[in-house]
Order: sequence, then structure tokens, then C-alpha cells
Amino acid sequence: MSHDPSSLQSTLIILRHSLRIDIAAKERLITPVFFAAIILLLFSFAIPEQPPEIRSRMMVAESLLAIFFAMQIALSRTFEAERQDKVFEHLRLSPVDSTAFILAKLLHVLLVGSGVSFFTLLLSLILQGQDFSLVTDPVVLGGCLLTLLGLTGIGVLLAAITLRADGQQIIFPLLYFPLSIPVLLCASEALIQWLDTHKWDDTMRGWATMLIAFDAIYLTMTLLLGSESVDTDP
Amino acid sequence: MYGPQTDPTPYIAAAYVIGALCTIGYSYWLLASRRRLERYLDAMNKKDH
Amino acid sequence: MFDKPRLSLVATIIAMIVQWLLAWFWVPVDDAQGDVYRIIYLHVPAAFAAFTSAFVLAVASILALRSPNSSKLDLSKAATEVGLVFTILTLATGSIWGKPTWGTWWTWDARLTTTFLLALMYGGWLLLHNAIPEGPSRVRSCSILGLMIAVDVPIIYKSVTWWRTLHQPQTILRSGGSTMDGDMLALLLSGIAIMVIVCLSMIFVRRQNIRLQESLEEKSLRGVV
Repeated sequence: MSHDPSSLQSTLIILRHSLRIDIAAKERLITPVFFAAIILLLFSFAIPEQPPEIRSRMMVAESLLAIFFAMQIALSRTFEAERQDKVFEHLRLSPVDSTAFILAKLLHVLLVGSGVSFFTLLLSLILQGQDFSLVTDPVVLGGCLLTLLGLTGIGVLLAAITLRADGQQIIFPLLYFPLSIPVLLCASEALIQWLDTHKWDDTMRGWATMLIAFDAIYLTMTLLLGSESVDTDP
Repeated sequence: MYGPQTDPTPYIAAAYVIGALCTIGYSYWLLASRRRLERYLDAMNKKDH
Repeated sequence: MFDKPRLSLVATIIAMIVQWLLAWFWVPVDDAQGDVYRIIYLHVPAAFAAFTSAFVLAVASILALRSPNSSKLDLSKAATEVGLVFTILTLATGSIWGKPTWGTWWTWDARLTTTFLLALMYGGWLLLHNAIPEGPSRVRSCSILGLMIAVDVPIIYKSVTWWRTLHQPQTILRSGGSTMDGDMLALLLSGIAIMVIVCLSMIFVRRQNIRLQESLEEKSLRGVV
């Protein structure tokens, strides 16, 4: 007699499976990191030497953009393995809850994204000649994590809804870029404010609240509606 | 910034011209499209019969 | 000859033109901004119309999600197209009004950013609709995006009260009553009502056009087969 896995077990199984695919095909992990490094390098050519007082602002802006573009690479390939192996057709026949599937994908992208973001932040600190202690600053880390949550939330949902679109590689960024703007705007404003003043004032609170609000909205919608997209007939 | 020396006319004119294009212009296009589509449908129905 | 939506569209367009004439020639000049404030009688109603389209899109999306196998997206598509027109109008008139009052065509404050976002999302919806072949998959994907667009609308509206921004604070719906003069407020409120009805009429006329087009395509396909 078979024992159907619980939702949590299904989530963990799918998460482990996705991570194994990434480790087996290492280029899936390396490509976003490589892309982030290229973006940072391009910035160093495109933007001339900045005075020391605004270097921290440049670091924040460049890091967030590099993370954003690197995440776009990772997110547009979120369901690539499943699409190739007709996994979605099998999912409809299996007892796996589609919400568990979406949650697993969210966690998978978050884990990969954390690695990419940490590497990008470190590289950006080096290129901008900033103090390494910024990496251990809880507000900076918290801001990057909240940014990642927002980008992951909206990215996974859009990857799900553009799954069957012609020219998915083009449609996905066209939807992802505008919907990510509020997350990037709030994150950059909050982090720049923090690096300038190191004060948790009303302005800081406002931007942080907006960032958390968008994260909550995007993650909730992904969990509620993402499963609808993967559950569908072609 | 706005002051007594700023002539508001070009700004108001520009805004309302764009408004007219978007509202009146789009409505005209909707009504003209409908007439065209109805003519096609009539022609098609006549062809069937 | 004209059915109800078309009649409503023509009638409300005429009412809108009358309202504009009153805005230009009847309503008094504003103390702070002078004559340039008259753009408010176009800008604010256009914003409300854009929000109305998002509401219609949300309702159409929910209805479509309930039965994607039998639903079509004609109402959603009509609402998105009309919403895009009014959002572009809102941004354009806001930008034109912003130049003489704030000294800049554009700034990335909360309300402007989220309105711009709304315009891009409407455009994105139309792109997604074209990219997915017809079927339940398209209905589901476009309906989910439609709901996301609707979620953005209250954020735009509340953004002014949540954060202090460059944009004007709420003028109409604020505790303690409106800051506007009686005649100005009456004309603005009537302008909003008229523009919302213009928007709804446009949506329903466009929806009928889409359906007509689809039935024409179906007939011509049957003729070919």
C-alpha cells in the first residue's frame, strides 16, 4: 500500500531534486554568478571613478542591478528541467500537491539566489574599495534578503505563467522587469539611506515597509496562483 | 517652478489635446471599427445565403 | 441603430466635452497654481478611469479563473486595452502638469512609479495574451497577471498617505474633508463620474468588437474548411 507524501515532504523532495539537477549541471549555478560578475565589470567601464563619499551608493546600485540581472537568468530557467522531461504531465497524474511544487521552486531559487547575491555583494565591495564589514551589517544583509525575496516571489510566478508562451525568453523579462521595479526602488532607497545616515528614521522605515509589503504581496500571490499555472492543460 | 511669468496655455493645450486623442479619438476608432466589422459580417452572411 | 454601450459612449463623450468647457471657462482660478491647475479636471478623472479598468480586469480575471476551460478573455482584453489608454493619458497629463508646478517632467516618487508600473503591466498583459496560443493555459496565465495588475491599483492610491512624496497629497478623500473650493470639487467629482462611465462604455464597446471579430474569423475559417 503506497503512502502519499505530505505537502512538506513533497516540497523537500522536489527541492532536493532541483538542487541535485543544479549540482549535476554545474553551469546552471555558474551562469548567474558569471553574469553578475560581467555586469559589475561593465559598470566599472561605463561609470567613471567616483568620489569616496558616493562610492557606497554606487556599490548598492551596482550590486542590486547585478543581482537583478543574474536572478533573471536563474528565474527564466526555473521550470526548464520539468518542461524538457514532460514532468508537468506526470505531475497531474501523481499525488504531488502543485502548491508544494511551487513552494519547492521558490525555496530552490531563494537558495541559489542567496549564493549569487552573496558573491555579487563581495565582488562589488572589492571593486568599489569598500569595507568588508558591510557584509556583516544586519541592515545591509536584511535589505539584500528582502530584495531577493521580492525578486524570487515575482520571478517564480512569472516563470510559471509564461511557461507555455511563445518566445518565453523574451516575454519573461518584459514582465519581470517592470514588476521588479518597486522592489529594486525600495531596496536601493532604503540601503542608500542607511549607508548615508546609519539611522532608522521615518524615511528608512517607509521604504522598508514598502519593500516588505511588496514581498508579502508577491510571495502570497505566487503561492496562491502559481499552482494554477503549473496545473493546467497545454 | 510655477510663477506669474509662466504662461499656462501651452501646458493646458497640450494636456487637453492628448486627452482628446485618447478619449474622443479612441472612441471614434471603436465606433468606426464596429461599423466595418458589421459590414463584413453582413457581407459574409449574404455570401452564405 | 446604436445599442446601449455605443449610445452610452457617445452620450458620455458629449458630457465629457461639456465638463472640459466648464473646466476651461467657468470654474475659478486656483490661488496657488493659477490656470495650469485646470489640468486636474482631466488628469484625476483619467487616473480613476485607469483604476476602473483594473477593477473590471480583476473581476473578469476571477470569473475566467473559475472556469478556464470554458472562459474567454474578451472582457479582460478590452479592459486591459482601455486601461492602457487611460494610464498613458494619466502619465502624460501628470507629466505636463508637473513641469510648471514641480519644475520637472518626471521624478521617481511612489505614486508616479507605481502608475508607470501599471502602464507597463497593461502592456505586458497584451504581450502575454499574444504569446500564448488560445486555450485554458492562456486564460489562466492572463487571468493571474490580471489579478496582479489589480493588486497594484490600491497601492498607487494609498502610496500618497503611506509616504510623504513629491506628489500632491490626497485632495478629495481625506479625513477632515476636501481642501478644494465647492465649485472646483463639484466639477472634479462630476468629471470623475463621467470619465468612469466613458471608460466602462469603451470597455463594453471594445468587448463587442472583439467578439464580432472572433465570430468573423470563425465564419471565415469554416468557409475555408
